[in-house]
Amino acid sequence: MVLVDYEEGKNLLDKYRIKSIDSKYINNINELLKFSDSLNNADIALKVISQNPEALHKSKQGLVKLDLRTEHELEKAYNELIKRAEQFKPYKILAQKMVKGIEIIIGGKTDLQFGKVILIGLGGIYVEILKDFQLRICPVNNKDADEMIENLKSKQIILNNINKNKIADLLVNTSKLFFENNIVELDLNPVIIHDNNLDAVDIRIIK
Amino acid sequence: MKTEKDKIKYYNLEPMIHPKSVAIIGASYDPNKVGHIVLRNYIHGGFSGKLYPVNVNAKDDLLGLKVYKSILDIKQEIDLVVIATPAATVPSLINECGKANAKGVVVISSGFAEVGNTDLQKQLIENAKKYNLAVIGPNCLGVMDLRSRTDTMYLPSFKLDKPIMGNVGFISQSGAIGSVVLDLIDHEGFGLSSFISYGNADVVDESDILNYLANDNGTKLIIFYLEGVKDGQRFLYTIKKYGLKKPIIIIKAGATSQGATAAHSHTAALAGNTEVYESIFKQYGLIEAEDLYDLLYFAKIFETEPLCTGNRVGVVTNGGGAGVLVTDALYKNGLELAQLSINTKQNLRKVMPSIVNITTPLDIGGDADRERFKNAIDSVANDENVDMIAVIVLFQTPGADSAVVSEIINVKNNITKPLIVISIGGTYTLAHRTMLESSGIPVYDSPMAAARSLKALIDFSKTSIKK
Repeated sequence: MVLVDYEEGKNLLDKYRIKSIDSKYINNINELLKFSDSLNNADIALKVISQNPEALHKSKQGLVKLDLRTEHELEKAYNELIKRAEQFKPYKILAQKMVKGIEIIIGGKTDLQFGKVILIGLGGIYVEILKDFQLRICPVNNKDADEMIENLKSKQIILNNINKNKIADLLVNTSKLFFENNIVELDLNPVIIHDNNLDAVDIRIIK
Repeated sequence: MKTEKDKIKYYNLEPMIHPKSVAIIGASYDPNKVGHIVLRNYIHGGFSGKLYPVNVNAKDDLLGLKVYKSILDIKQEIDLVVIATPAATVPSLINECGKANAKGVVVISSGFAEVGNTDLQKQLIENAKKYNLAVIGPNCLGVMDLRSRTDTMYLPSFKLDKPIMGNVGFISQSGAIGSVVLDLIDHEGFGLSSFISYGNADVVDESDILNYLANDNGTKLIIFYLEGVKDGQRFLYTIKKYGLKKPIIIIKAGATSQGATAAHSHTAALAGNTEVYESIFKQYGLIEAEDLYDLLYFAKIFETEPLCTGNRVGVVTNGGGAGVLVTDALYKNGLELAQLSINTKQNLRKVMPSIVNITTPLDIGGDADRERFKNAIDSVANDENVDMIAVIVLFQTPGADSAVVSEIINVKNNITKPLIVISIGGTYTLAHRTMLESSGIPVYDSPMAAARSLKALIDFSKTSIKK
């Protein structure tokens, strides 16, 4: 089991027309400030990316810094993170634009008997508490995707914020990506719905 | 590259299910032995084909039939062999069946992988494959077909109520659950085409059986007790092909959460084995029952009622309380009460006494008789705002008797919408329930079971029309 590098994952998503949030690996504070400029000083999140299994739960390990805007905030957060990340070497620091919205999870797993299945659920912190999700065998077509959305208890929360066909397209494309590539597990968690649009924020692809 | 289709081949089970000749290996002279009971059941069950008892210690005739020392001595065509000898003898007997050109074998014997004897199981499979022999079992009840009157079950026939001939096919991985459900079927007013209990599924598996029943013209729908599939890809291919062609009502036992243990992602942690099965059923149009009784309740609505995608239920009742309970059950299952059209209301106002409030559920009163039932059901059933009809008959009231039953049957014969009856009660009620059910009207004694069954019918109808 190998975790695919974030940028490689992002490129794969691009190939399947799955949008992901603006992000960049940064090696020093200057690169971070430049990235911030390029986003017109929008809020930024910093994340430590490491293959170390202990680093998988980033927020529990304090490997995430959120809502960073000013030069001072960015610099302080960056310095704290690299100190904290020392124990998870080798690591990289990923800077991401932050967006706020409804969080959903799109995922894939390989069932021992039936092969690849795809998942959609209300995401972020709710997914494991509410367990409101739908699964289907890959690849899924538009009708399957439609049914998955319709069967979610939280469908109205989602559909109040985005057109259904955009979510259906995301499901069909992710299922295609998962089905056609040599991938064992996949988490896009969260995918954030904002401004009638979707952005994958965390990409975890396991080969 | 091979396509999916090339890989999937099914055993032909037709000769086993409609055999013209049956050999029973292990046909004992001891009336308490399994092999003896199987033979006796064949004779008493009215099987009209040829019977060949086989016993290594063959001496005199058995139940009036010549006994053979080996299947190889029969030298006639053999469609089905039933093996009821100790496990250790089975692999070599499979070889003999292959040499005798038998078309299929049911191995009743247990003592294989289910108790850890995997080597014995391997030998059995190897030998069966060598001769491309269809083997059902081991560790199963085998096959019962109400048309051909083949019956490999070793249960004494007086101990369970045998279903009548009908058009429901029944597959059970477990023999015990199989026999329990068989015992109950006759009380639910429908009949069986075939029953197949397949045990360890070493050679013939669930997909072979589904393929057979899906293509069997005498089988209108399938009920299926499943613990776990043998071959996931074959199963997916098979239900994709047949899930919407015929209703397949399935109960999956064994809820495990294997997904949770080795999860590297949120998705894997969430999507355990149970969740994956549930999704597969939904995706390919199988109807999942969560309770053994639902298997029967759903079967009877699918057996007699037409498909229907609308969820507006017209309710007629001769008891106010029962009407409320049924209404609750409908709404809990995503169904709703139909709102009667103005036309229907005007018609009903003319024929109903003033004590009857013309609304839904339509409570026609505890003194309702044949005439009032007839007028009420007829108007409601023919209302364009009504998709399906539920008639509540409490037979404890003075006016409810067999005349009401015949009015319900009359209306039913003139409509194309689903109609069910809900009747709760004891002996008198049960007698009338039997009359209704033998005329093809499903009767429920629980409002929730009735509502779940209506919902199952709608769900399947929607999926099969959409896809």
